[in-house]
Amino acid sequence: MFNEEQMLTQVRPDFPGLTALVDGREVTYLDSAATSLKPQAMIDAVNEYYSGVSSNVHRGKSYALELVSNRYEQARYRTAELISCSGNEVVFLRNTTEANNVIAAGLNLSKNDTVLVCADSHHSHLLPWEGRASVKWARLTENGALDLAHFYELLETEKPKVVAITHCSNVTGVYNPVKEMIAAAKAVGAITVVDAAQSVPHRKVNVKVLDVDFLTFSAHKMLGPTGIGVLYGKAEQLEALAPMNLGGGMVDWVDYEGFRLRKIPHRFEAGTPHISGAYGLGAAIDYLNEVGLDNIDAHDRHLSQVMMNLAQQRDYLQIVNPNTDLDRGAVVTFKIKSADNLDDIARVLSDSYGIMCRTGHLCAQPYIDTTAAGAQVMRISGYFYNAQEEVERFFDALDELNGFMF
Amino acid sequence: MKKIKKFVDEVTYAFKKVPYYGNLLNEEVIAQIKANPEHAVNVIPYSSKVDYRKNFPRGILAKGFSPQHPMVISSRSSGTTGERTITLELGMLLLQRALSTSKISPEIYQIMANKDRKIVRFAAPNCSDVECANPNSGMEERLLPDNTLVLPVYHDLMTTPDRMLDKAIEEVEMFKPDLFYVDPTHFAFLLLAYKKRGLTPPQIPVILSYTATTRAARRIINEFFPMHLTSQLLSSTEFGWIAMECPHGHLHVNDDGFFPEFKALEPDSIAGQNTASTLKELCLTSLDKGACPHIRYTTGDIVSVVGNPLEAKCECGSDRQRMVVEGRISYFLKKQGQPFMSPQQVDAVVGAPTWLNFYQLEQIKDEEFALKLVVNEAYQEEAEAPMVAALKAAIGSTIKIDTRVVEYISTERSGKFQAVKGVAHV
Repeated sequence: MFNEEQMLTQVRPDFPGLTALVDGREVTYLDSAATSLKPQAMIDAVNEYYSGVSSNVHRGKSYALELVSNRYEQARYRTAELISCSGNEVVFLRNTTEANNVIAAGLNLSKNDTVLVCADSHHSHLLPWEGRASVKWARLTENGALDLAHFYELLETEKPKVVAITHCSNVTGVYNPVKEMIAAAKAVGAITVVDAAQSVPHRKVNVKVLDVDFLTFSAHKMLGPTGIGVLYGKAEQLEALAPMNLGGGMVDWVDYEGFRLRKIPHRFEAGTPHISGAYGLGAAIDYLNEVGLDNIDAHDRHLSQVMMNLAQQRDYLQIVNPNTDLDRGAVVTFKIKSADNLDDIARVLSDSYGIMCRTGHLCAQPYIDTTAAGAQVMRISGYFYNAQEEVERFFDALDELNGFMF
Repeated sequence: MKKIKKFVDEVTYAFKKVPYYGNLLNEEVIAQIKANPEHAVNVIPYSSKVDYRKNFPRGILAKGFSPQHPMVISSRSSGTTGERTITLELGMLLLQRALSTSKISPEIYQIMANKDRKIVRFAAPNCSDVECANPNSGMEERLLPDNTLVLPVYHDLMTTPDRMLDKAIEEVEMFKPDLFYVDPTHFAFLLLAYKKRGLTPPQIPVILSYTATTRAARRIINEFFPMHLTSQLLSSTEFGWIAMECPHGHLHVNDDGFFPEFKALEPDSIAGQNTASTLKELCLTSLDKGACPHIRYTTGDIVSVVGNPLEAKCECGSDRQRMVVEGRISYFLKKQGQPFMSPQQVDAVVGAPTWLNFYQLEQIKDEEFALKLVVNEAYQEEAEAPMVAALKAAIGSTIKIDTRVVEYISTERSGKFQAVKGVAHV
């Protein structure tokens, strides 16, 4: 049985960021959708690499290199277990953005190809497609939700080559019904690509159950280090994908006439990879497993309810997609009705109250422009180390600023 | 102590010819061992893999031999437990050790004695994961000078694509081997591919080597091969073939080719278990004055010594010592850092239910375990409940076992599949 108090007591001491001083005070961190705080075990794992013989991987025969290579590949296996796929279906790249670009580039798309993109996409799941193919948009409903009827209609009318789906919106925390969306997309012969940057850190995601072709996420949003992300691809899809980057470590044979690609996943990891990052990602996954994704999910849903309730009680806020019946995580975004620019409010929240949240267009400008009529929005997002009191503190601070700052 | 005279000769040879032993021993020790060999064995210190790795090649080769010697062949260990090594030995001696080991199994001995024999190998590729197991390689590139065809397989066994399995099956058909020399988990995986395609492999003897045979893998193998055609082999990079299973299912150590000893484990290393006294580390001394003699070499293999051949011979008629390989100490389950239950003991608890193909029990913490099960069509929901209950009864009633039915379990980076992994194994 999930017990919030017990979990917070156990995990909070593991996060040095929760007690670190910024400008002389501890912070209330409500920006985990941007990047999560890091547990000491992950920091130790990264340091372990740099504190030891920090050799390369897969190049040469030295003893230290073998040990480092073992740890690097162990992180790949841990990742595969996390999302229920095989080790050779996990490619380590820089982040979700790079992973989406590797897919888009590797499919050799042209403007004659149609990609169905959802209007709730992050830029990282929008621009790689817009830059290479003809994009059709699945639009939003009036209250800012993805218009699923329009999505299914476009599948039938456009017969897209690729369908780009966001599992969980970075703006609203709303989870789309990806399993059904993927099944519908596959029914019209499309390749499916799911941006899972906001879902894998919070819930158990099983790529076999979803039957998705490609799925991408970043380590830094799930307690891991920055600079390492994951591209999952079904083995047969990876085999058919052309590598975007060419260079060392991804070929079996090279001569003056040509080269022969190494087997998957290594053919997508040209150059020296982020080795310490893999150490850190492995440790982060171990930590998540120790806390339990079921517990994290339960805490997420609880925090989401708290956030929505408190936001809805304030009539000076306009919530982006306020529908409380939707499946959603611990994220809420809103416009302050009387203020289009939130830069100074964000500064005051930070400097006077020690609260860190996000303002702007949240790397989802088409979405925000549609739902907030060109104004900036403010987002708070929590993770399993956040307490309900922190969310309440945020709204109390906003109340204090109401009428004075806006 | 059979072969004690040969043991003394080997020690003397090593002392005179091998720099490492020249430094380790002295005339006084040699005199002692010659005067009273049976009582002076313990005067000689044990050697280990790290000694050989750090003194390679100059320190561990006998005078007159070099890595370039035309009759010397080299073998590399996978470094399963992070302990890798390169061994150089005369090819002829390795063959002789194989022959004398296989005497215990007449069918295999006959094949090994035939110089025209053809062997197929299906096991973890013996090199780094990005330079081998190339899906584009042809048969001719994988045919070794001793007429062994190495079948294609990925390092991470369960990611081996269907086309590679098709290729392996096709190559077996074309090559017409006399003997399978395989890793049992790998072979079980290949046999399931045969089954899926409605095919059957040739009925030839099968040597199961590289890793311990789980009962589940054995059940799959025995669906295709009767017991008398399959034989477990204990071998190592350093010695070649060491011990083989007789037709009555008992593993006998080759005491013609080696001087075996069973070293007691550290007194407090097995936490409070009754089985402690039966568990020993296998130590070997070579007896053939080769290019790279080993004296009282601790193999890292923990075994249970079974019976006393001086009191009763095996049903097969052999007076060679019987033993059961329990696994490497680093893979034992641990309590408070102390190994207490061997992979073999765990496997006995797991057993071979008809619905189970492969499993892995990984110890996360002292009291936390992850059990992954790869099942077949005979599996029904909750079928694993008795197994989990039995594991709790054997390991501890308060332990937590996170049990999952999965389609994939990763191998070690070495390519070897470990069914049981104790805590903090890297």
